[in-house]
Parts: sequence; C-alpha cells; structure tokens
Amino acid sequence: MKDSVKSVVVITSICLIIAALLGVTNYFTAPDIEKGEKQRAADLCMQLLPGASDFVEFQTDALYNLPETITAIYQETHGAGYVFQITTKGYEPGLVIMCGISSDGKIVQTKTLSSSETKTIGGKTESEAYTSQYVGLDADFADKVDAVSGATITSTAYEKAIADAFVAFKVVSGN
Amino acid sequence: MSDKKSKLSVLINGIIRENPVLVLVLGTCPTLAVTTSVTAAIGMGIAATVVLICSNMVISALRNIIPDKVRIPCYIVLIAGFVTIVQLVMQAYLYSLYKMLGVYLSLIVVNCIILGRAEMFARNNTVGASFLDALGMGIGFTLALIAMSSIREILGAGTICGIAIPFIKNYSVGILTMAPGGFFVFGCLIALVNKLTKGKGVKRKEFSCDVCPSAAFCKKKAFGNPDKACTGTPENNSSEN
Repeated sequence: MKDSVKSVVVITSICLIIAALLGVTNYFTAPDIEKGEKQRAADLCMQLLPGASDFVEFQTDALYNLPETITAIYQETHGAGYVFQITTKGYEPGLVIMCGISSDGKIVQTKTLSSSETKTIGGKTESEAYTSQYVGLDADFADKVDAVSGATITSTAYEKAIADAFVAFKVVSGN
Repeated sequence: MSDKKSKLSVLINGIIRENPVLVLVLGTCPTLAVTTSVTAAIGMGIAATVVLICSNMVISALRNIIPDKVRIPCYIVLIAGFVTIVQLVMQAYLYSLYKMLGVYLSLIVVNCIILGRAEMFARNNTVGASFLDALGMGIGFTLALIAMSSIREILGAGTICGIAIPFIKNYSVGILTMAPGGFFVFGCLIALVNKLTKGKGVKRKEFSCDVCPSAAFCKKKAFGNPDKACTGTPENNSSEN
C-alpha cells in the first residue's frame, strides 16, 4: 500500500515539474516562434509577388464559397495582388502550394511550401522547370501546362490547386 | 563486470567499443532516416546528445527516489519533457534544422539509446558517471551518423552539406539515398567496426535477466545458472549449463 502511494506521488510530482518546465520554456520561445512564422510567410509572399511592399492576412471566415483547399490568403497592401496557400493531396497528403496572382489575374509565381511526395517522381513538380510553366498564365492555364511524365497524380493535384487559387481570386477580388 | 571503471574509459566506451548504433544496434530508426544529409545527421546527433545528457543526469539523481514499479513511465515523462524543450528551442532559433529533422526530432523520445542507457547505466551509477556515459554515447551516436551520412550523401547524391561536388554528382548512386542503400551502408559500417574491435565489442549482457526480452524462453534462465555469464541470446543447448 505504502509502495503504491509512493509510486503515485513520485510520478505525479515528476509530471507536474516537467509540465512547469515546459510552461516556462514555452513562455520564452512562443513569441520568437510566432515572429519567425510571420517572417517566413512574409518572405514567401515577397518571393511570389516581387516588388510588393507588405502583406496582410485576409480573413477567410466571412467568405462562403472559397474552395476547401484554400488555407490562407495574403493580400498585398497596395493592391499588387494576392498570395494563396492551398493544402491538397497529391500521391501523399500534405501537399502545400503557394501561388501569387497579380491584380490583373495572372500567375506571378507558384512554389511548393511542403510536400511528402517522392522526390524523384511527384517531387519534380517543385522544380523550376515545372513551375516556370505557370508564370504569366491566367485562369485558362489548363491546356498550357505539361504534367511531369510519370507523376500524373501529383501534377493533376497541382493543377487543381492552382485552379482553386483562381476560384478564390475571383471571390476575394470580386471579379 | 561491475568493477570501477575509470572516468575516461566510461567516456570513450560509447565511441567505438560500445558504440550505440554500430555495436549495440540501438536507435536504428533515426540513423537510417536522417543520414541522407550530413547537416541533418549532425543536428540529430547534437539534439540526441543534449537529451541523453539531461535525462541520464536527472534519472541518476532521482535513482533512489523513483520506485522500480513506475520507473519506465517516469523515465518516459522526463525524456519527453527534455525532447519537447529541445524542439521548442529549435523551432524558435534553429528553424531550418528543425524543418530538416521533421518528425524524427520528436521521435528522439522513443530512441532506444536514451531509454536503454537510462535503464542500463543511469539508474545504477552516480550523476557524474552518468554524465560521462551520456556524453560518450552521444559522441558515438553523432560520429556514427556522420560516417553514415557522409557515405550516403557524397556517393548517393553527389553533395556534401547541400553543396554539390562537381565530378561525383554526375555519377551518384541514387539507391544509397533510399532505404535499401541505407541498410547496405549500415551493414557495412557494423562489419567494419566489428573488424576494428576484433569482435571484442560488448557481447556480454550487462543488465539483469529481469529486463531481458528473451528471459521468457531462455533456457539458461530456466536452468538457473546465474554464475555463467549470459551472452544475451537465449541458449538453445541445455548442455551449456
């Protein structure tokens, strides 16, 4: 009986002390983590809409006909355009693509933020050779881009993601 | 077997003779996963070493307080706590490395090296000795990772730390960056270390029958011969007694 009580007391105390230590660590690191994330999102938006000055995250809660795959929208503050973050599934789930569309409805650049695709197959959609096809195209891009041969699933998912970005563009820009 | 070892021998034990990856064959999951890149391997090695040192020292300090019945849950809580601290710090200040290690950073919690050393060493030795053991094991782990990742990255991808090597890049052996190649390199390194230690790397089990996974069907234990040193594998021949 005494052993059981001691066991419970020891393990509970260890849990409480570790929880306290984690709380302290989180207190110090959380602001830096958030700052880093905002900076990375801003840097990526700058890459996707060059010449832009600043971005603000668009509140998507009020919009009711956005495609499900759109997880974030960043609006450039001087009207240069928008950057869309699309989360979809290629061969594996977790394919996150960022697409910058200028205010005149043309793709400026696309970039894969993260993916679990096989590097030598679906991963080829991250290459310059593939993404450069999209530059300058508008909503009718479908026939103008070639899929990566041997990576039809990922290529199709990518094209669908960009199509969703255009649907979202129509919604937010009111066109 | 449990005679006093010099402090230096405790430290260098983990580097070759009892290398956790290449001799004890612990922590093979992160070894195979992160050794496609030298940078990731070094990062993983350092992260695991920090967690190993902290957990070994704390477990050793609490060795007379933690009851045997709940020792594994207590060790896991402590190790998970330290890994989470390392994760938060990396996410805040070393984001590129954090991203490179990905899920394998959180998997350090169940890295057999850390729980294994807690069980095999820290709970029976002083804080100072546990620190040295952890440091030696951590260095051994990191060196093994660096050796494996150098081979896999240079010959498999033709780069080192992400920087392309002009001639080799055109003739890289792609399979070395994938699982089969990883196992092949791993096997070759184990064979090499075995040769270097002339097969005198640790073979004897240094922990009691209670924690041995083979205890249930080990004939040695069944026939009850505690004087004869256990080789760590269940004895099939009863005449060995």
